[in-house]
Order: sequence, then C-alpha cells, then structure tokens
Amino acid sequence: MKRLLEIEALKLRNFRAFWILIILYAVTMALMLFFLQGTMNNLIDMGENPAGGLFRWDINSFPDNWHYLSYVAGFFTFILMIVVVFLVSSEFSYKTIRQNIINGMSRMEWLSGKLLLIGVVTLACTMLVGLAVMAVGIIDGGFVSPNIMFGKANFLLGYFIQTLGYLVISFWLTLMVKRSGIAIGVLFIYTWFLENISRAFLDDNVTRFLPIRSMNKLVQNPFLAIMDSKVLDQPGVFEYAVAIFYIALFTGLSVWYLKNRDI
Amino acid sequence: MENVLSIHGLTKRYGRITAVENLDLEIPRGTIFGLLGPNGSGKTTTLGMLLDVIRPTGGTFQWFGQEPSTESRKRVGAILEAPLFYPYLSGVNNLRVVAKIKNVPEDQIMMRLEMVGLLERKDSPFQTYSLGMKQRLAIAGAMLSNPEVLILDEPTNGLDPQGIHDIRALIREIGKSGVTVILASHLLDEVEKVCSHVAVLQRGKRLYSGPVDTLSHRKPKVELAGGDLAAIRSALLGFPNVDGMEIDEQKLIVTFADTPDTAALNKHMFAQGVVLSRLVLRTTSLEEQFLEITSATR
Repeated sequence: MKRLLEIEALKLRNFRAFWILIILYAVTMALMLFFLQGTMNNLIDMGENPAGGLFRWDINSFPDNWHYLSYVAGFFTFILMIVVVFLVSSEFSYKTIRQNIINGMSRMEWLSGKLLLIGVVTLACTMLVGLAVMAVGIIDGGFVSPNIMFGKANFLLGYFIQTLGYLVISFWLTLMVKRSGIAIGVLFIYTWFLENISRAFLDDNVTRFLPIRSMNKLVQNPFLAIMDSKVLDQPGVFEYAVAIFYIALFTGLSVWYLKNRDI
Repeated sequence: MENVLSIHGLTKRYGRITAVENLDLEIPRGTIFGLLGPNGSGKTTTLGMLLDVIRPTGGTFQWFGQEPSTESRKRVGAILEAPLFYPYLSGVNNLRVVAKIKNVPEDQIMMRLEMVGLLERKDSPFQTYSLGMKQRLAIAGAMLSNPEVLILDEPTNGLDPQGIHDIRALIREIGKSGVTVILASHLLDEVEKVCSHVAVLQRGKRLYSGPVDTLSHRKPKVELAGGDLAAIRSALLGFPNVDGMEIDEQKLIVTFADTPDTAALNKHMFAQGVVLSRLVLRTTSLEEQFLEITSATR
C-alpha cells in the first residue's frame, strides 16, 4: 500500500493540472466556508430585509455549522471530480498505464494505487472542511461543551462518503471513456441535469436511489429544510448503506472492466 | 538450449479480424531474436499479449518455464511501439517511477542513465527530449531491473541515421552481456544486422522460424546480357554449377548452386564466342527472401 502511494506521489510531481486544481479548490473552498456567514447575511439583506437585523441565519455556531459547511463544501466537489478525470485520462492519453503494466504492475495494483490516491485526497479535503467548521464555530461562540460542539459532526462523515462516492463514479466513468473532455461533459450533464430531468417522469421511489441523489442524501440541503420549517435532516443508516453500496458497485465495475480489457 | 519464452497456440481476434493466429514460438536464452513482418502482421499484438496489456483470445505462454505473473514481468524489460513516459516529469523522475514499480533500488538509475548517455539531460522534462533521447530513456527504463529479457518494438522507427546507429550498437552491446533480446521490426536489414534468430510473421501467422543464417542462405544469382540471349543460354551449358535460368527483360538471370568465379565465367563465355555487355553477381538480400516467403502465401 505504501509502495503504491509512493508511485502515485512520484507521478504527481510537476503534474501542473493536478496542483493548480487542488490549490484552486482548497483556497476557494476555505474562503467560502470562512465567509459563508457574511455572504448569507448579504444575500438576506439584499432581499426581504434591506435594513437587516430582523432575521439572521445562524450558520457559524455549533453544532449546526457541521451541516451548513459540509453542504456548501459539496459545491466544490466538482473541482475534485475534474482532478480525478485528469488523473485517469492522462494515464490513457500518455499510454503510461500501458508502460506501468509492462514494467510489472498488475492491473489491480494500478487500480488500487489510483483509488488509494482518491481516498487520500478525499480524506485531506474532509479534514480541511472539519478544520473550517471548528475554526468558524470557535470564533463565533468560543468553546462550548463537547456534546454541543460535536453534536452534528456526523455530517462530516456524510461529506467524506459523499465526496468519495462522487470521485469513484468519476474514476469509473473516465476509465470507460478515457478522454477527459467526454468524461467531464458526461459527468456534469448527468449529475446536474439527467438525474433531475428523470424525476419528471420516473417515480420518486426509483429516482431517490439514483447514484448522485443517493450521495446527496448524506448531506441534505439545510437551507431548504429550514424554509420548510422541518428539523435539519439527518441521514440514517439506510442512506449510508445505499451510498456505500454505490461506492462498492463502481469500484467493482472498474475492477471488472480493467481486468478484462486490452490496455 | 533453455528457452526463456515458449508460446503455444497464441491467438488474438478483434471481432472478425484475426490479428494473431495459433502462434507457436520458442525463444532460446541468449539469442537476439527478431520478430519480422510487415506492418499489421501481428508483431505488436503478440508482444502486447506477452506483456499482459492485451488479453489473448486463446493459447498460452510461459516465461522462464512458469505461468506469466507480475514477478515474471519484472524479469523482462520492454518497450512497446513507442517510449511511454510522463511528459511533464524529468528523465530521472520518470525512471524513479519505473524503479518503484520494479522494486529496484534508486542507485541503479544513474548507472542506466550513464549507459544510454543521458546523464547530462536527466533533469530535463521528458517532453523536451528528441526522439532518439526518448528511445534511449526507454531502453534505460527497460534495463533498470537488470532483466533477463529485453523486448524492443521497432526501436529505430523514425530515428535519423546517427540515432539508428546508436540504438543498434546499444542493442548489440546488451545482447553481448547475455541478455536475451526480442526485437520486432519490419526492417529486414535491421534484423539481418542485429539478430541471430528470426521468426517471420505475416497476417498473424508464423511463416518461418530459425537462425538468421539459414534464412539468408540463398543461391547466388548472376545477371548476364549482351546480344542474343539464346546464344548466352547455350554457351552456358558447359559451365559448372548452373542451377537454373530465367529471362528478365533484356537480361538472363542465372542461378548457381555455389558462388561462381565471375572471371572464369567471363573467360568461358568469350571462349564460346559470346561477348557479354553485362555480368553482375547479385548479392541476394534477406529482403528478397522475405518477399518470396510472404508472397508465397498470398
């Protein structure tokens, strides 16, 4: 495992597209999370309450900030999806996957290396979100008792699995189509449009099990939940199980595809 | 002699097209083995299957008498079609990736870079290399694990004469060190110059396999012309070792069982009252032999 990660780390040196996107991701997301409260205040002031002060959306305080920030962080996952597309498609366009295998890597080692890298990237991003949550929460209200402070920290786990899910789907799709342009196009058309369009003519009992929606269920939109004056939605064991099933499925499909294909 | 590689009935089909058909081949240790065939004859497909990047439709093969595995592949260094490296990484960093994959200590890298003469450019990105340098880096990568077998696929394709010369010298040097070299090429001249053994492929089938000498051992031919070809033909009757004759445009092509003494031939013809305007001993090349072998199956 260490060897596979070392190989991936060596490949990433001087891989400019990767580093530019990762830095872009980390900087914009960190800024967004730190100034989310201010941004929301501004949005509200411009609308119903020009004078402000009537209604403040309390985003930064524990424990609901776990939910708000994890949800907003999810908007930035598309950058990570593009990173994964480049990580995989470049190996095919440079045909270096071929040389990796010729040099004595097994197909499974190649796949494991890439999935490990995706795991590490996801973990790092989750830690970044976690740090942001802790920072804004402490700045906002100081230290509070742990059961309030970490009361909804499980949303971070939801964020982790959701991000991993998105990235594994991106990995599988790029493996199938091999070209970065096509992969990015299909990913965005599917995640942003196709699943939503399908809800117009498919039963909700079907569409709620579609892969992207299943991932999104782990960190539901907290703003909508408040407007509907519902309690902030917590994902249950079932939602986690469905998401993990999809991660396993797309990993399995990738394994099957790579094992049986000419490279 | 021990075989490093045995292939039995190896087959690859792409839909209705058969790229490699029922190929049997034994490659003895220590040879420089040429895989010769025109473009599209199945050379690269065969090598791809031996290296696990192409899934065979049928047949088996053994490396070093064992079923193929990642371990057996680490004992083989190979370059398929073109040098494949990460273009944004320097030469030395590219070799670090190879070393990690092959579990080879990093100190091997400098040694191999020196062998192929790339020490000075080791820190430049791969994409800035010339084609000859790319090819040499690929050989350095393939030789990193000190392999028992080196597979090269059209290694001189697209190189300038100096580059071709350098690569061939490098291959011979590697061959001399005891490494078995498998060289795929469509250049007969290259196989003749570099290889000790050869297998000729066409449309995925093996047409010939054996030492290069046997293949290139040809009956010598002499071209004769001058006045009446019929007169030349009858004058030749008394000359020893004549094996056959055929008329090609205004020339008479005479096949000999053994290399004839052309001076004696000229003298003989003159004594018979025939004056030759042309007397050429044709050095037969592998090329003609190759065309003969491949055209016979058309």
